[in-house]
This record gives sequence, structure tokens and C-alpha cells, in this order.
Amino acid sequence: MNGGELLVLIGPSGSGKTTALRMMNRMVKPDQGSITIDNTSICSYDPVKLRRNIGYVIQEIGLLPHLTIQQNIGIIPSVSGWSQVKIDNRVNELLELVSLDPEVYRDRYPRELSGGQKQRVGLARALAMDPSLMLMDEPFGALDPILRKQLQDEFLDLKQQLDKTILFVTHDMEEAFKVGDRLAIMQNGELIQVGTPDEIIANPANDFVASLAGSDKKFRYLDYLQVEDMMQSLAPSQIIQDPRSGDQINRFLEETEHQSIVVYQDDTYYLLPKDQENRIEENINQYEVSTFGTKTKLSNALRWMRDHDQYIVLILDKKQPIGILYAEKLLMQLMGSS
Amino acid sequence: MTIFTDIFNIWQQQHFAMRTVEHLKLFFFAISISVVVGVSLGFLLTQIDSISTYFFNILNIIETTPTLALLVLLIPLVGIGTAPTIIASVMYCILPIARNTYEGLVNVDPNYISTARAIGLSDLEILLKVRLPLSFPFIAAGIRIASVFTFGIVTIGGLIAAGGLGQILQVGFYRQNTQLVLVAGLWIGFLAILVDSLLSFLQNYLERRFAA
Repeated sequence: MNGGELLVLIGPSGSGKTTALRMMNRMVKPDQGSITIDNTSICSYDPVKLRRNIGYVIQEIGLLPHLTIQQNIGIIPSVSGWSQVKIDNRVNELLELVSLDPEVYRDRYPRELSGGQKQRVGLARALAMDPSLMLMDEPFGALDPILRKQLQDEFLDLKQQLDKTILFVTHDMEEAFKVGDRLAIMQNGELIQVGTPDEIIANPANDFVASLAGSDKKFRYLDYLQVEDMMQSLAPSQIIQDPRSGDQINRFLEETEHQSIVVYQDDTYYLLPKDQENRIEENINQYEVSTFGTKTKLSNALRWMRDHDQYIVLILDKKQPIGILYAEKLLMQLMGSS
Repeated sequence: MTIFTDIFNIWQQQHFAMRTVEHLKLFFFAISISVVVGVSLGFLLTQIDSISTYFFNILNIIETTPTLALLVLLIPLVGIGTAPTIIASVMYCILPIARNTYEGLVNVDPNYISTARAIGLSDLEILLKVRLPLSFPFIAAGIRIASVFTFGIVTIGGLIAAGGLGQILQVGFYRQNTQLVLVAGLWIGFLAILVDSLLSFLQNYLERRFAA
């Protein structure tokens, strides 16, 4: 796993997802092999200390019924010797983070909460010690579809704010595509394929992955994929900033070995194809290209391109061009290997 | 009005107030020891589970011995008075309290224990903060059964000079005084129901508070 990413473990029940997750906090002992965090084997940590520094969220009965919400969230800080004032502040902070009013919910018991509220409290408890690694075992599995979607959205927002490394187990492929930076697909206790959502959809390792990912139904995933998943990457050497003259652009065009170049001038981006016979004069404007952020949903980008008769758009990451989205290539890719 | 005057006279002559205090003192002393011994034993048996079945069998045999027989058997060992009464009631009460403690601790939903461990509670913390509180309703039910036993044994203890309200009963039997036996018997019955009601109230509270 890479630091800061959300890796989804997905596979049918009995494929070993939860077992793999529980090995991470030494709830299950591996038969062989080793697990390391920051180059230190987890076996060299005291299991209790290790678990206190790994956030843990599960589907069912995560909360202790005889403790209030405050006591549930504060249980690990409390046994770790925090002062009561510090625990109270932390609990309030966490409840607000998961959109629950501390005044209302702090002193309630878990049985007085709805399923969605319990799940939020479970998340707050996992965040109590501000762990850098979190394990989530089907956290939204027990919720009804509408609530699940809502909590997934909230969780995605939260994830952006928190910057945690998260291992997330689910058997719901749509959820996996929605929340995951990368997916790890398991079957019969074996890891079949690890990759970004588009890699999984476009190049499934075997028939099992293809059927699981619904590679034949790729258009379903337009809502989950972001433009960065499907763009063609740009090399820095393809970009020229504020050229002094049309001649400089022409020289750059002649010299480059790339198919196209990006020109940035007066806050506007231009995309120039290489096989351009006509040299660039004053009419560079016809090459002006629209831009999208990397996190734009593919479906939104495509809809916009259709409405504006655009076939090519530039993808920017913090004002820096990093890729090109070709509508045509995208469609080929989506239809591609099915 | 004569019936109330009669009861009042009996109450005064036989020192009912003093005997009641004596009776309740003996009761609370005996039940306290039973709770400490019973809960500890129940917990110990969860730690050495292999012998728990045998142990409960032995306790069951003690339980089937008639109270009076047990008291008589204890007299040669510890004499008469409060000592055999307390020992007998503790021997009777260990079973319900220890068994309920054991069952309560063993039957806590494994999901809670597993979650508690996964978020980083140590074994001791799991026992004190999860298993024990979640067993409270069971333990309370055991104590309630035990308190009924204890109340009965303390009363019978009056026959072997342990004092308390049983002593008044014995006087009544000895003098063949039906009135006295009736007043003492009803009063003891009333107290027993009162104690049981209080404990039932406590048990219900614990069930509401600690149930899943």
C-alpha cells in the first residue's frame, strides 16, 4: 500500500478479504510472510499499542451498548491516560467532524441511534487517536442503499480532509469504484489483480475480474471514474509556457518528438497537433482548448464536451497541465477489450 | 381493635424491632460474603474452564442437601450460633451467584469482545470495561436468587441460636403460641418479599442499562 491512498480489498465472500484486513492489526496471525508498516514488522509492536494506533471500523455492533457515545468514542483515549478535559474536547471535535451535534448525541446510548448515526460514531471512534492507518471492514454494508450512498459521499469528503492511509474491505463493486484510489481483487484467498479502477475495467487480469468489474458494462462506471483515470498523460517536455513569438512555437513543434504540444499563453491553453502543415501565425486561437480539474467526473466531462462540441480537453492539476482527454480514445477504451 | 393491641403487645414483648435489625444484619453480612466469594469463583472458573463442569457438579450436590441437615452437620465443626448460619448460607449461595457470573462472562456477545480487542483494549481492560459490565444483569439475577436462599437460611438459623426473627419463631413453636408464630411468620414473609422486590428493581435497572 502507498501512504495516503485508499486501497479497496474486494472479492466474493470467503475470498479472504477480512482475514487479510485482520492480519494488519494482528487479530489474525499470518501462517507465513510478513507485514511491515514504515519498514517495521508489525510483529515487533505490542499488539495492544499497535491496535490503538490503527483506526478500526466494522459493519456490525461496533459500539459497546453499556457506554454512552462519548464513552464509546473516548474509550481508547481514556485507557491511554488522556485527561478528561482532553477527551471531552476530542469527542466534541470528532462528533462535529462526522456531522453529529455533540450536545444532542454525546450522552446517548448506542441503542438510541439509527444505523447511519451508529456508523458515524464508529468512524469517530476509529479517528479518536488520530491514526495514520485505518482499517474499514464493510463499514456501510448494513445500511440501506440511499443512506449508504449518502455516507459514502460524506466519507469521501472526510477522506480528502484527513489524509489517511486506508484499507477498505467491501464486496460491493460500485462502492469500490466510488471510494477506492486502487483496488485489490481477491479470490479464494489469493490476490488476483491490483490496480486503479480504470486499469481493472480496461485490462481485467482474468475472466473472474472481468465479470466482477463488469468490464462489459463499463459505461456504468462513468459516474465513478474521474477524468484523470482515463486521460492520456502529458510529458513536461510537451508544454511551452508564454512563448515570445509564433516562430518559437513553430520551432518547438518541429523539434518535439511528441504528437502534440500544449501552449500556455495569457491564461489560455492551446493544444497544437504535430502534423500541422500550416505554421502557426496569429490564428493560434483556433487551437484553444478547454480545461478540467483531475477530479472531474468522467460523466460530467463527457456531457460538457457533447454540449459544447468539443472532442479534446486538457486536464489540469493545480493549474499545471498533466493530461489530455480525447473523447474518441475514451470511447474506444470504454468499449475496448470487452 | 383488640387484634392490633395483641400484635402490638407481641411486638413489644418479643423485641421485634431489635430482632429485625439483628436478622437484617445477619442477612446482609451473609449475602455480602456470598457475593464476593461467588463472583470471584465464577470469574476464576472462566479462567480454568476445564474444571468448571466438575466444580458446578459439586456445588449442585451441596445445593440438594436440605438446609437443616447442613446446619446440623456444621454444628460439630463450628458450634452453634451465627457462624454455622453464615457458612451454610454462603455454601448455598455460591452456586447461583458463581454460575450466573460464569454464564454472564462466558456468554457476552463475542462480537463486542472482538471489537474491543481490535480497537486496542488489553485483556484486563476488556474484562473490566466490557465483559463484567455486560454480565451485570446475569450476576444480579444470581444474587437475587441467592438472597431468597439467604433469607430462608438466616431464619432457620434462629433455631440454632443465631438470633434474628427465627428466634421468635422458635419461641412460638416451643410455647405452642399460634398468635406469635403467625405474627412472626407474616413479618418474615413481608420482609422477604420486600428484599426480593428491591433486588428485582435493581435487576431490571441493570438489564435496561447494560443490555445490548
